[in-house]
Amino acid sequence: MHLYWWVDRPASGSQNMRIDRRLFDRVERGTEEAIFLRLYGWSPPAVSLGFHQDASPVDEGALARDGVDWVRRPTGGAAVLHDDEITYAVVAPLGLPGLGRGVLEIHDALAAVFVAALAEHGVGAALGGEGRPEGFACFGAAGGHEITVRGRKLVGSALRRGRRAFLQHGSLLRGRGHLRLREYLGAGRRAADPLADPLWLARRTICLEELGRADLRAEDLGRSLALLLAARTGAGAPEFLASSPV
Amino acid sequence: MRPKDRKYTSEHEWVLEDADEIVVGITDYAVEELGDIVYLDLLEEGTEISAGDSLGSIETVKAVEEIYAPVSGTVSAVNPELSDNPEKVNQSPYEDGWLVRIRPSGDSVDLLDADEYDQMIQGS
Repeated sequence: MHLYWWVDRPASGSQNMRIDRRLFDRVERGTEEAIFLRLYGWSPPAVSLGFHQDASPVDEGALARDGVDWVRRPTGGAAVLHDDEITYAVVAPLGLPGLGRGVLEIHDALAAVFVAALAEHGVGAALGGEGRPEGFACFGAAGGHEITVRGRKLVGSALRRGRRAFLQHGSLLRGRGHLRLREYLGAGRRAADPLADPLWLARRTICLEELGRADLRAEDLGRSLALLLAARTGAGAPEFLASSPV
Repeated sequence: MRPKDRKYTSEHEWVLEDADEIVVGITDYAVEELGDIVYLDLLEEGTEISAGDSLGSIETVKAVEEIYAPVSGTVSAVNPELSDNPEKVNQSPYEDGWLVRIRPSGDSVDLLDADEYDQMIQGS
């Protein structure tokens, strides 16, 4: 098993999702038996919705006003505003040693890798919160399988599982840009919408900036993640790529 | 103990013959692997499908995945309870949590009996 990793330049929402979908399809169709770890950013910032999420709350006017994109992810989960974060995608075959096959098994395994990688860079995160899914925003709740600091969510993640492969998306919050999500989802227009409270997301999340590590580079985190993931799965030495292979 | 009155697929679905239709659901093993199901997006009644085609997708709290038709045929019913109560699949995968009924037209994927399915799980 080979592990490839790289850091892509920021791209649009549709371009980012197209690359991740192609990576997933390569492993799902058996074209390639490999682990891919891709780190990237978003330009312009974009709201992503989970695969099944209702798009009707998206406020196209507000998005256009601010030059923000929106896109649907191939993964499950809930809405995220990708702005000032380190985003990653992991694609791998199902059933690898150390990762397993089950949805929560994979989530917990990758979360353990992520927590260990963050620790190497001075960020003391842990697995688990006490929240339940609530509302339309991914970062609105930290369940027992999320990466948190003092119970506040630092990394949001979601999965697509196929017959042979999985794709996991994750967002590591660098700054507070994601808090503007409410501006693009018509906050307050729907009954019982927790986003109507402007501080709702801020109370439930924490970012690298608040932890004094806003300077963490995707390249440095990626190297740690790649080495830890390779060790966990028994893959050979990770191979760094200068650019995306798809 | 898995019901012996039906067949199973390597995709962790079960298939139960009922008169001229077959009932399709997912196994307790699949449910365990998925976690809490929050939404199902299944094909509509009357849709023609081929064995191995997507029957729709299942969303859990953390993931989405496709489910596949074990037989070719026409979707004759979709479990009406699941749109408001998807958790029924978690609570009762072999009874109340059935997914669809299909009027078969021929082909099927390879089907296993309960013992063969158990052995497959234990070997995975």
